[in-house]
Amino acid sequence: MEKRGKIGENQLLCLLFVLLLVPALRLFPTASAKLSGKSGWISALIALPVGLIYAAFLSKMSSLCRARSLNEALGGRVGRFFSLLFSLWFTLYAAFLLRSGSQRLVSAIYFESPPAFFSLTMAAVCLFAASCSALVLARFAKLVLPFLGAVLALVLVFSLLSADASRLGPLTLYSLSDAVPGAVAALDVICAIAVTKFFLDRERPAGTVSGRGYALWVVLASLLLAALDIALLGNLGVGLTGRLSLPFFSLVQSLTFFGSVERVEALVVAMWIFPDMLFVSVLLHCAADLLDSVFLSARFSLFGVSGSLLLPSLLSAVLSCLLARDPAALTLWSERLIPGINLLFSFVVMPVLFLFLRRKKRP
Amino acid sequence: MKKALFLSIIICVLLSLTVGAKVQTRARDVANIVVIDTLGIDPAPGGVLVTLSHTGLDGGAEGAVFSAAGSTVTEAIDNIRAFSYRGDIFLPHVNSVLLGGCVDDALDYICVSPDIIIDVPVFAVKNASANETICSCGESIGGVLSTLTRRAQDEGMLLSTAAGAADSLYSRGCAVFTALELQDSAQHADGEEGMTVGISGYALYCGGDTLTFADASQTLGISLLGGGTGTSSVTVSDENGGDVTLDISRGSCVLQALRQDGRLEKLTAAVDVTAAATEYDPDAPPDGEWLTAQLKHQVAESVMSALLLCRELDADLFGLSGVLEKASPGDWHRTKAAAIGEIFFSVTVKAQIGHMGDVKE
Repeated sequence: MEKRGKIGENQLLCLLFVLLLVPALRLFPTASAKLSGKSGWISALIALPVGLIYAAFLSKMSSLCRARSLNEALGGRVGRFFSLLFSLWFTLYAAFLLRSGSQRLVSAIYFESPPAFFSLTMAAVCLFAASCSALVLARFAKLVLPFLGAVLALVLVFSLLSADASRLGPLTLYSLSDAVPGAVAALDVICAIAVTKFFLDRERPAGTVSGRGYALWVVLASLLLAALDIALLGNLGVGLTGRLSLPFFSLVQSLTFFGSVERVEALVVAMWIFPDMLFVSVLLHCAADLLDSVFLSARFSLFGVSGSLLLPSLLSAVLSCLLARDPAALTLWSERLIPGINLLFSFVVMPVLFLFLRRKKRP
Repeated sequence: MKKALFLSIIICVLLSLTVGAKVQTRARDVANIVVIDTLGIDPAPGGVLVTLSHTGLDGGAEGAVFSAAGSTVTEAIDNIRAFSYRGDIFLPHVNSVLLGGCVDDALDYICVSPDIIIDVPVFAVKNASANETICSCGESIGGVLSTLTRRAQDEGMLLSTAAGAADSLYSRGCAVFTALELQDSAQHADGEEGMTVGISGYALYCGGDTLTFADASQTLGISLLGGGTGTSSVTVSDENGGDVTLDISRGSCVLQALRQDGRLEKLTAAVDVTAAATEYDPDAPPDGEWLTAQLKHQVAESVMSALLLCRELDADLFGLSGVLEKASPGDWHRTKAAAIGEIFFSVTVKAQIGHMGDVKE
């Protein structure tokens, strides 16, 4: 894999912001509406303090782990175990994203087409992208972010203008308790990507990783999730948002610009193609990085692509064809299994890893 | 690696652009594309009956009506596509949906369909099926429904959309639709007389197989409670027993929950309407105060009747639960349901009549 260059804080934030669009546009609105009802929009804000604490925790972890890889930092069996565990998680997550993205293409554009075709095509694209350094991926994110940001801003402004505030209230003290289950969904989204940042931080110059980056990321992510929820709940209402599998795209389809209906799906398609491609690539890149550090002595390559990248890429491509064979099963994966696994890694495995890192650091 | 990244970007851009591929690959002469403007859905044995209407285009395909049954709406549309002698059935321009029943199936279909926008106006058909209505009106139904939609908006009636109805149905278990009814004696462009449709109050759906149609006397109340401004006109009696037509130009309704000793006492609807007398005997102009009292009485009766309908159906048609939640968040949080059937209602009306330049309150 290409290892040139060191990724900067701003570039990393751009990359994370693009990655956030994947769960923010596809998974979070439905989950928060189902879990918290009309208080769903508060859930992302409620998640903010916990997210900031988690950001401080990851920042502390980053300062404990200055090595290039987990395996190097922990050494021995523990290092190999955690490296393999995280690479497996990233591979599974990438497989889910490939499957979820292909379902979107099938349900919106290519009806009755086999989703496997789109999963495999995207996996092939991501294989090339993941073989680049994180710096190249971050530069790519910086390149597409203005376009994605502009489209998102356009949709948000027009949808917020037409939102019905009565659908978000009444706001009472009880709304806060209603918002707590949705806050778990928000934390699942925010923390899983923050963990990815922890692994990408290994590719940054030593001593440049600060808590500010993590905190800024958590604040931006919470605000974006809250704004999206306000737009969706205010326009579609809680009943419809919770029922639709892709409410953001339904909202875009029905938005009215300047008094006449315009269909801007073509622009919005880019909002799921580019982030999907980048997210899968980053996950495969991280998985490959972890495997690379474990199998130092058994490196091989095929057509110039390292074996440590080929393995998770092929595995995720195969898994994406096998998991969730029908839309109902995909709903189970996207609403239960993947959020559960993400939370498990973010709030159980990461703290355990922290303990190991701290023990290793002690003289 | 730069080449690899470049290749990746190109492929992504191409994937984005292929969003139009479906249209391109199936592209045919525009004259052969059957642009559907009205979709009708009725219950049928073992499923649903779907009726599609297409208004002819100048120099293009002639107007036509298609119908087919299926176990689901999607299957019925597929059957129309499979057995139609015409070209492509193109649904993205559907601008009205008529329901003769099957409300759940219809809303589910519209909400997941990538072809039909979710805020398409939805009407319930009274005393006929959607299929009968579309077939009776023929290909002109699209134009008639567009005109009715504009009229309903101008007159401040509640105009139900698929998104609004689906949200209400999924969150409160009931929905209100604008009702349509077949009417005689429409003069077509070719001079022939035929059938047309007109707005006929509202239909209420609270689950199950049937739609409940509100009485004409409840129409104004439902409009006001639903956030509309009311109907265009009401007819009241002057002091001599003659008819006076009052055009309602503005109307609003605020719901408030009244509590006493920590318990919900009643739910009050405070209505404010402004009307102008437009049709009356010019030789004996009616008394403004009398008319105001008559208007107040009629509005109060209509609003109360609509509220009692909610109680009768035990359905939260107008978001009453939101008012109760606001008034008593603690109680609401404990029960999480509004027992509409047990609520007492009261209505207060503030009316203004303006006629012949004279406004009396």
